[in-house]
Amino acid sequence: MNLSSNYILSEHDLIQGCINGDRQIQEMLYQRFSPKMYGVCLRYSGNPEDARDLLQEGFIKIFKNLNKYRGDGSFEGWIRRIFVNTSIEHFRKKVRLQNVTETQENTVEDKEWSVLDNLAVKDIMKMIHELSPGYKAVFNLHVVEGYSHKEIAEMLGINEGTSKSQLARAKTVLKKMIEKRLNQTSSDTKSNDAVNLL
Amino acid sequence: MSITGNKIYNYEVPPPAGVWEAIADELDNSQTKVIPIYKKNNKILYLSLAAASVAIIVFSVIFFSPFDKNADKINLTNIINDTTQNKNEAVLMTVPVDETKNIVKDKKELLIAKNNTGTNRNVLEKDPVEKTITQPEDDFSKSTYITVASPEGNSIKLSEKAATLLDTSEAKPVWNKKVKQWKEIMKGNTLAPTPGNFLDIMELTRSLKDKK
Repeated sequence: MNLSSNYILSEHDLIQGCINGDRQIQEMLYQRFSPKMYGVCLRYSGNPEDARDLLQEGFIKIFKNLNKYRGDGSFEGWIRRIFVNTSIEHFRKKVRLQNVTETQENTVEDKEWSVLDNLAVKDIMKMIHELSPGYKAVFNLHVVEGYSHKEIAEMLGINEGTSKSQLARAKTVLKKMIEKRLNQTSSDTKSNDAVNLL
Repeated sequence: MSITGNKIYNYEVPPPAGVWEAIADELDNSQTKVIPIYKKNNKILYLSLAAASVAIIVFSVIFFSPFDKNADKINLTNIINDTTQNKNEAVLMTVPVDETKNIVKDKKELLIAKNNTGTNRNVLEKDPVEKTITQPEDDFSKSTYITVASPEGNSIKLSEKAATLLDTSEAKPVWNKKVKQWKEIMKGNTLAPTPGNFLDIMELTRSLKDKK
């Protein structure tokens, strides 16, 4: 099947072509979703080399298991779940989180993350990269992907309390990072408001 | 999801060069098997299995059937106890039957096995290929079924192969030996096969081969 670069396939045709093993269509799928999925891999891995491996591994899994996609839910969501699971698998091999018993449960409300809203995505990504693997994983899964602490606990093999405490600690570290950043640009009025909010 | 979460969720970064080539190589090496998205239809598989099973059963019945293939002849066993003569006398009749009308014809062939007090023995107890058995004409070379009756009234059917044995007992004495040998094996065998049971026949064949 000879396709021009401007030809845009429907999702159904894309899936069907990939299942049939059409290399050209598989490349089209890769071109369409790889930028976003590479962003996912970068968030979880923290370095470009690991992110590249995760990207490659994730797409291979997608092409091999595309026949299992039943059409329930969005196709992008299905792809994203595969990449998240691949990243978590990679993370679990490298890091083993210990279950921690917290005397006080630290719950982080979503609104408390609004302090990051004023920052550029690149800056946020830089800060996330500086987090330790455990904090990073929980932050990504809860704040970005939207998983509950119960789901995160199952994925990472920890208990729910540990997930919550990891998130709380991630918040503390990010707070310090933001303060440090804000101190570097002390003449900016928005940064003063951000400190007050914290 | 918060604004921050949304921003990060949709964050895109151009992938590094060479990743697609590596993916394509990996896919070529693994020889990904393409499975269509439609569900496999197992109906055809089940139908094929059913057809194969039926074919095997039909083949087994036809090939291993103990009955005579010529259905136009019916073998009758008449046991006549002649009260005036020796009670061990048994009379056999093999009567061909018209297949269309199912009427017994006049043509009869008699086999008389006499149990004389002399050297001749009872057909059923001893060697079935005794010389006292008189053979009808060429009908035995055709697929005639012989039914042998004992003095007690039990009927035993012999296939055409046995008829061939009887027919050639004088010309080929070697069959006598074979039959004697089989007889000895049967005596020592606890198995009592029935012609209607296919598994019995197989077991019998196997035991005969083992004893050889």
